Amino acid sequence: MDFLQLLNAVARVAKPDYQEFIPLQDMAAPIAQSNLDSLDLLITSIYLCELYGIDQETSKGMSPATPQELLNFLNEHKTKEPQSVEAALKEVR
Amino acid sequence: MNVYLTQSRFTYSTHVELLDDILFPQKVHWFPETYHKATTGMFYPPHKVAEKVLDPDLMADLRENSAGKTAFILAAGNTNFSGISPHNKKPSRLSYAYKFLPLTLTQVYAARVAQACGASDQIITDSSACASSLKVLMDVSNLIQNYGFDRVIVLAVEDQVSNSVLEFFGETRAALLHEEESKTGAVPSAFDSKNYGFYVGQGAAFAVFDSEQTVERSGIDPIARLMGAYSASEVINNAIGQREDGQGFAQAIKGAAYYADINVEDIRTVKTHGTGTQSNNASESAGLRSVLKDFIATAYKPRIGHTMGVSGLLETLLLFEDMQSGFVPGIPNRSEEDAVFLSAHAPVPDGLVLSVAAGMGNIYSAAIFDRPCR
Repeated sequence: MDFLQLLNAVARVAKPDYQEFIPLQDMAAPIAQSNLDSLDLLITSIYLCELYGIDQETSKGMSPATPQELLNFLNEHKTKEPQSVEAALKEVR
Repeated sequence: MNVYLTQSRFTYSTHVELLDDILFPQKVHWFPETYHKATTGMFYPPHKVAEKVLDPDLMADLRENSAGKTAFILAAGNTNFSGISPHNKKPSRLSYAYKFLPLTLTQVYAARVAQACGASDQIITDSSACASSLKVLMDVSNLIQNYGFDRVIVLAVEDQVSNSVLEFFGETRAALLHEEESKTGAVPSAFDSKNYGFYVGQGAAFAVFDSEQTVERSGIDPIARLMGAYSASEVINNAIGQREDGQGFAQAIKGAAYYADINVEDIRTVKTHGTGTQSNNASESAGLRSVLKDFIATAYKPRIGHTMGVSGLLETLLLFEDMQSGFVPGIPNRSEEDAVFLSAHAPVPDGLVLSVAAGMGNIYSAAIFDRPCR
């Protein structure tokens, strides 16, 4: 599963519908480029931690600047991972 | 400057279910689906209730066709939605741990919704307990009449069916508990000698209030005219009690009439707070009778449950809907005939409409409307 595809899909759910979200194209791109504000990013991060089975205590240590940093954190602490983008979206919608 | 109610959406549940695994077993009016997946911590029941009235098309229209200076008020009854209170002593089907803590603060949630409605000139939250959504109508009038706002949007939502709220109303014996219901055979009603009390109910209301100029500019057909609104308190040493002589209710009604610049004799239809508790029956009927002359009164809580801070506005919108259908509804489960606190549907009288609400913490609110315009 392409992580950028998953991140963009989950972030789109976290971002209010009427606001523009710019999909991230590069694992090294600053997440700020996507137009996610701090609350959107918090929501996105919590969704992803849930999808990767990371407990709340651990998830508080996450402060990613790029998709790669986010993936590194998830890989380090994951207890499970989503099977597909579609399956992930079912859980967060 | 006239203020008009121009758009509204509301929801309530007629699905009544006994929640028997909570500390104080009681029936509730609720939407069970709002708890679907709540235990994952990623879905919040009060937000799910609000979604039922947050019409995406209406919000897009409000956002894209600005009326000018626009405020947003979240009438939340509390500063925090209460479902995650650590006070819960007993796990139940309502237990969960919501993971997005910022969104449990009502003001943060208010901002999220307000921006989606294009309301960015002022965003505020009201926490005046069960009077909340009627109390804010005083703010609506004030903002439009004295501060140059063109539009004020009100969202009323509270976390009614939650462990904390049901425990609170169980502990204070304010709600009609299952044990008492079984013993006495009483069912929810108001102003009745046999039936009494209420079930807690989920519900939400969304309303748009526009200035006269906004209405003229947009050509919108208003639902009703908000003539005046006022909130008052009373002299009492009990912060969760009500005076039997209805001083608080009377003060609120007189205040609303003063600011509406009307004679109280012109008020002919009343939407009561109508919880049906012994205390409210005495206080509210005394307050109404001390100020009004010739009126008929109805109550919605026996039909839809007590939606807490949402109830004042939601029940007012329900009354307007019923009046449009040509009647003022009787109060459900009245056991005796009554032509004032209606035991049966009555034709809509001429005159003005008064809506009242009360909240724990000694608050009483009143709003006066002219008859529905549509």
